[in-house]
Amino acid sequence: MVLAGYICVSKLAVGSPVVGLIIASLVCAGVSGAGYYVGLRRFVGKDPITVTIITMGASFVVSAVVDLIWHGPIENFALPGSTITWRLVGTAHITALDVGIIVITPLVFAAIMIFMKYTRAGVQLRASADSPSLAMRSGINVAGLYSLAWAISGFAAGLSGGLVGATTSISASLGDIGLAAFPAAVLGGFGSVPGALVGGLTLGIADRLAVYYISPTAADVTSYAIMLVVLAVRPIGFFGEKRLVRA
Amino acid sequence: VSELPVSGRAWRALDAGPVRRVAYWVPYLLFLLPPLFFSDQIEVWVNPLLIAVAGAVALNLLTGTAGLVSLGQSAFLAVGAYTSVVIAISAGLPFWVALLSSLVSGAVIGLVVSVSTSRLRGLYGVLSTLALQYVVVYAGTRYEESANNTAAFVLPPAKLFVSIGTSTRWYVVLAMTAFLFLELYRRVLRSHVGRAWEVIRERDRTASMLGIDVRRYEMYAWVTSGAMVSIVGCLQAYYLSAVSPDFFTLNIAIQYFAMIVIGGRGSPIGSVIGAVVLITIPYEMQAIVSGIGSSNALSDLADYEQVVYGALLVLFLFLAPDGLVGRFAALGRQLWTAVAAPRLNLASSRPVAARTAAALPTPAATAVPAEATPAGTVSPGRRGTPAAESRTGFLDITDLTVSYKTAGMALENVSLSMSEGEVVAVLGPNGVGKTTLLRAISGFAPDEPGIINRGAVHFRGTKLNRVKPHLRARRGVVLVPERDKVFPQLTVYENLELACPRGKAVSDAADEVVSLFPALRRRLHTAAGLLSGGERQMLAIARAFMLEPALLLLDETSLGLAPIVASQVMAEIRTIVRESKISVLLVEQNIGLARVVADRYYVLQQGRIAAAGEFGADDDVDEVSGSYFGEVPA
Repeated sequence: MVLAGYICVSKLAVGSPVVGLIIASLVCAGVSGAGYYVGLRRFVGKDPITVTIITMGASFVVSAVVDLIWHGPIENFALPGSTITWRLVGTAHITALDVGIIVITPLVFAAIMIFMKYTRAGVQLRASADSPSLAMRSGINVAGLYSLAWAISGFAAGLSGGLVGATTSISASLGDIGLAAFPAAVLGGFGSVPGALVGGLTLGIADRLAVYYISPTAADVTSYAIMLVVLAVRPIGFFGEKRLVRA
Repeated sequence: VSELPVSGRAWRALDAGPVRRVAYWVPYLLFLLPPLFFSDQIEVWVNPLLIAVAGAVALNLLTGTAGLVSLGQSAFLAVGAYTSVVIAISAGLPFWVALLSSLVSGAVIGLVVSVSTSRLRGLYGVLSTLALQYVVVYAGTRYEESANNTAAFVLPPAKLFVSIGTSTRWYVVLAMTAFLFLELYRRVLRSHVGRAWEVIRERDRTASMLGIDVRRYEMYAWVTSGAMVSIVGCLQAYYLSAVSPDFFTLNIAIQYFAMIVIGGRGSPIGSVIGAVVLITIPYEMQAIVSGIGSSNALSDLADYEQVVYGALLVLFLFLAPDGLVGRFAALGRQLWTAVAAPRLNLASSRPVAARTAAALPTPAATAVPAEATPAGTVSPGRRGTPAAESRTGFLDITDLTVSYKTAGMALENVSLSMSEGEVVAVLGPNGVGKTTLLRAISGFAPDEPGIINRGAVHFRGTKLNRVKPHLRARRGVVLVPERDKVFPQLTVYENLELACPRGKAVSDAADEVVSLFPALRRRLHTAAGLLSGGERQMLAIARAFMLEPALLLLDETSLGLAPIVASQVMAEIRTIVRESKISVLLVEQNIGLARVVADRYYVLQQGRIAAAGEFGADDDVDEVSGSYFGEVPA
């Protein structure tokens, strides 16, 4: 759901790119949060696998519908700045858009970090992840907070979908890139925001190196192969929570 | 899940005789239908269906029965297909060698997966099968590149004694495979291996305590299923006579998953039904679309199919997680109770609710007329309660009967009242329903599947039965549970912060609460998981105070604390409660500790209230402990 929901809306945004991107991300946030509240709320505290499979099924439906409506890949979704180019060393160059992405990403991360660490809702969200039943009994509206979390993740997904679309092109297969978030999260450690940043960057670099040194078809598999190694060696990832329990 | 499919039920009812032996084989007669009735659709519909049946059986064994969710179905198919390519094209060996090699390679990959996922639970295991998908497809792509093959690999025609060229001959081969797989699955289900898998699926954590070597049985499941799927991959490759990495997408894995969810997880027949549904729908859609004849519609077909099976998967997981087989079984049970059972006059088939009601006579119900309680506060239809209980308007529990889905009755006809400002203890040994009582008052969380069968909990005149736990907490009914009473990953301060009501400054409220428990002050920025037992108890009560409780529910406050710490904590509770005028309902095994704080007591025995009284002079301890240990005076 989160993975593919962004595509449809970012396409609508071609008219006025920046505003369109923000609107698209907000729509994704709404769809994602509402989708959770309506559909997935009942699975709180139950098997997470069912939820995962449901979201996968739903994202298949959404990406197929998107494909039906817009028919295949369309041309670039032009954010301002993609035509401004600076030359770096040698043949390497960078566009203003790339610089924008490099700035936006840490900003999003910082915002999420601050939310989780310093706001009451963030603390309540972490508490709900720790123990949903105790959180409820502490007066926390767990289902409502989870919807908020889904909305935030929908917003981030929408934003990244738009940015990916601006650097390459938009198509329904963007959902595959969404799946790549799983290895990144495993590498960094589920539940760790800095972990996601480090995991994402590591995999991104590894991916490019593999394409350059091994084969262009090695792009997808690299992340998953690294994930397998991490799962075998250190399943909680780089920054995974050590369960704090006094012996 | 624990309910047997109706076929299984009827099955057991039959004596082990000729009827049973014949009935067992009857479903396989379905295999005769295609050549008789669908002979013109064998190539396009029946044979793909049989491939899907065999694949679905193999996946159902792994995911439905052993509970190991796999997104690697497509990868295992690819393993079989590429093994065939290597054997048939690169080595030039015949079909049967390819078939055997596929079996071996699938089993080996299954072994690898089982070893690499044996430490992983839940979502992580699923993710590693997702990784398998990408790794295998990549390997296939590389192999294709290295073979300098621009298009798909083309396999030679299969030959097993005779050439399997025609679709009818393929039908025979595929039907035999589907039959063998189904028969294998049915037999495994009745063997000790199948039972072990079911135990692992239902109770992963306790399976090892039951003496089941979980890892070993999980390995069996991966190896068996891997080998079977790989064989299906080999057959499919020969049937289509082409192999390309594009065939083995994640969509295929999800499609197979949808089959077993729609048909019924853990059921052989369910695998067949699911395969029929998911193969027939696209087939029919294709027929319709080509009838329309628009090329646009044809090109969109794959998308429409994806929408349909994605939607079916989601809908079934929501509405019928037991699949069509589960639905049929439920329907069969209803028919059985409605039609067959009354005629046969079988006592055991009476609806459970009626039986329970009959088994629980309420003696007071007929004796006490309705005027015994003030009319305004009584919900209509409420049964009369023993006259000893009168409503206080603060906490009133009337005729409460609670059961758990898994364990049956936990509380029976419990009535209890307390006024504002009172401190009341509920006494009783382990397992008599004390915790259940507190949960019924504070609300059941999703992982505590308790159900209020009868009776009501009223708090300040409002019926709480259907109020959600967090809203009860906000109304002032706050539970401090027996175990897991703090959030270990959060600091002490964060533990307090999260309970702070909206619109109130956290620092002020926390400061106020911490002043009640000075020991917490120097630990404010320590993670709660690192606190000692006594400190945790204090933190839990402090967090409860953040919510400004009117009624504090304390579950086994003394549990796990050294006696001296326990009495210190109790003494602190008493001081605070006396000062703040908060009402407390506490559950205790230790009478001595309970009487430090409480004014009155109830004794709970086997889910019923056995005695009640007031703590007065020292001499009543004997009386209380008498009823506590079951010597209730008549």
